[in-house]
Amino acid sequence: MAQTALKIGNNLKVSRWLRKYTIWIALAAVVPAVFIWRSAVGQQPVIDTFSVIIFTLAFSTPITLGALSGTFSERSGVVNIAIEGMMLSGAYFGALFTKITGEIWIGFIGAILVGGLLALFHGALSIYFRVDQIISGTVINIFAFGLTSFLHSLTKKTADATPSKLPAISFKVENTSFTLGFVTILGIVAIFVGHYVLFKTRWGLRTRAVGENPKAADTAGVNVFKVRYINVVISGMLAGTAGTYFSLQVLGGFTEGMTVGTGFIALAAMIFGNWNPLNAWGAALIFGLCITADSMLQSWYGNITWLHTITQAIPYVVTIVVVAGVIGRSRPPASVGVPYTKQ
Amino acid sequence: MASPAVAFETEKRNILAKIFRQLFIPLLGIITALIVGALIIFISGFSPLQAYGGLWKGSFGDLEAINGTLATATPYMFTALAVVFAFRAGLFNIGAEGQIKIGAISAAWVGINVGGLPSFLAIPLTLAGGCLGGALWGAIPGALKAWSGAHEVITTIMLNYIATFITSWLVGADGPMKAPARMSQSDQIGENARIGTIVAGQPLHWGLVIGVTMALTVWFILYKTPLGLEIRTVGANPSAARYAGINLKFILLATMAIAGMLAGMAGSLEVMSSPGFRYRYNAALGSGYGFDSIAIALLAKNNPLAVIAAVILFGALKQGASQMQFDTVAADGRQLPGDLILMIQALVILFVAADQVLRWLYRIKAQSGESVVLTRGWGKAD
Repeated sequence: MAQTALKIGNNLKVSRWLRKYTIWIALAAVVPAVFIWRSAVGQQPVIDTFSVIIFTLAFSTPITLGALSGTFSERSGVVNIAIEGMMLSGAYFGALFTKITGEIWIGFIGAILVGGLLALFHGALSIYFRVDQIISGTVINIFAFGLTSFLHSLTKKTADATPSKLPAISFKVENTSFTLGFVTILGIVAIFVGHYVLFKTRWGLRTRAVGENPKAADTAGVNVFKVRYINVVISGMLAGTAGTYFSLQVLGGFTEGMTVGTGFIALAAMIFGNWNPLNAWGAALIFGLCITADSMLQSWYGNITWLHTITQAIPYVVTIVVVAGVIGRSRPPASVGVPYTKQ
Repeated sequence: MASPAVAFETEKRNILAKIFRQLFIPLLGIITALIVGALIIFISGFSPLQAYGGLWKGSFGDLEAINGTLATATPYMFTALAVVFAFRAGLFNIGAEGQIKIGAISAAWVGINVGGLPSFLAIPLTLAGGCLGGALWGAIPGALKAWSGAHEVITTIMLNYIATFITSWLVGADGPMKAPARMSQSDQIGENARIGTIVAGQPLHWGLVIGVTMALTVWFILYKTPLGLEIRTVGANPSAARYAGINLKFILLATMAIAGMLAGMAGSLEVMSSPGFRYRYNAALGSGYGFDSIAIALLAKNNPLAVIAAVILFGALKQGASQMQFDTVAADGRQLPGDLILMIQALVILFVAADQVLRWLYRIKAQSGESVVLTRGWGKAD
């Protein structure tokens, strides 16, 4: 009797453990799978496996940073659907400042500051004016798209091409060189730092308290408004950083609307990861893996249109399945989206 | 004792005052947005008068411009209603883009295949095909929300991408619906499945009339029928709705299906009657509609009747943009980029939908119950 109970208990533990780490197990399984598959078809397994890993890390970068951006804002109780707009602004102003000053790091810092500035505006609207946060976010998204395109054509596409790109680490595997961009590495570092800050520091505890129960936090002496403002600005700066991936890391220049909806994918990754930075990163990696699969399959097998359609659609289908199944009962921060009024 | 005539007069004045109060803030918001826009134009080195002159000329300047404005506005009428309708049940439908695309391609498929039938059969069948396609695509996030609690913001955005991939493949390079020798377009639908435009040679088609009818219908359903009451109850307070015995799952599903149907109707009408698409499904149809429709719904403060006005304003901005760009030339020969319109749109939404900011600017006191609450974050699953 007791033994059976123990067994069930263990099973529950195992299933909970499995569920908690599904994303990571799935991701880890991909590496040997690719290796075995490429060996089986007589290709270069080591190079191909490395390509998949490196490309996945690269493609997932803006999604990773965007998801972290959303996590910070929402953990403090402010919905941020303006990640896309902040990302796009970061991409544009990063390129513009780099072009004007000729110094890539000024562009990089500028992009972060512009993201933070837009976020401050979002904060003012949603915290001070208590505007519906979805409205505020929509306004910023549309405005950012308009502003960047407007300035871009007004300046005769000055920011088209920057004189340099952000640095990247290069290394060789079996005589094939791979690069890992600065923003990609920064994104990975940011995830771990963000996770530590949110769950192991006093600031993180305050942030989460404000997002769950602002009244209680206020009573305990936490300045709800200050905590929210700072987290929203952090969120904007992270989104601005994500934008530099497009303009300063990959392309070395700006094109209109170049973030192509990545901010919304990041939002999905944030929810997919249940408002937890590490899990959100896992979700972002799955998106990155699917984009990689698309481009790799094309380079390995040529452009088969129906296959291309399927590999393109997979991440979106997977997200729906995951949101519906695994985290169907996901739990957002309790007070997210509700403006706080001090009594 | 006041005579009935006087009482009637007072009542009339009250109604006028009420209408004025309701219109005052939105009008002030639009004017404020235009003033801020003028500042941006001025700072950029252009003449605001020239720019707004061009905008007016391009959108309402002559009959042709008005025709174009209304034609641009027409599909948005339906997609904005799709957003408004879902909002009322507490659902944030970003999926209008996917719904209009799936609706349009379904209509195209039916229209190509029923072209041999007489018009009185072919037209309703094609329209119904598009509505059904949109409704089914809209029902997916509704069902997911009802049975698994998956948040519709995520699922509708994902479904937009999926719809884009599917439809672009169908009319893409090796796609089964691709017309020979045409990029990303389907074959033309049959002659008998087409609806003409209102004025020959001009883009405006009968979809506008259907759209206005739909706005009235949506208003009627929401405020005058038991279904509408249930939808609004679910939107206002889901747990109260459950205790009142409302079938929550059914309402969520039905609301999203109807919203999808509205968007699908827009798609079918574009394929069936818009000269711009030449009676074909075109991969460009519906792109960007998801967020544009939300912008219009916010501008209309989720009121189905206000959607009519909001859509026309939106159509005018979109339609007048190129004339504005063409007419506004700085001293050094640069043209004013038409993307300015997007910033003005954002400002209009800011000042109209988020009227707290406007009230703060002009020190106007808020009347109780006037501020809009669309969402409470991601909400709870039930």
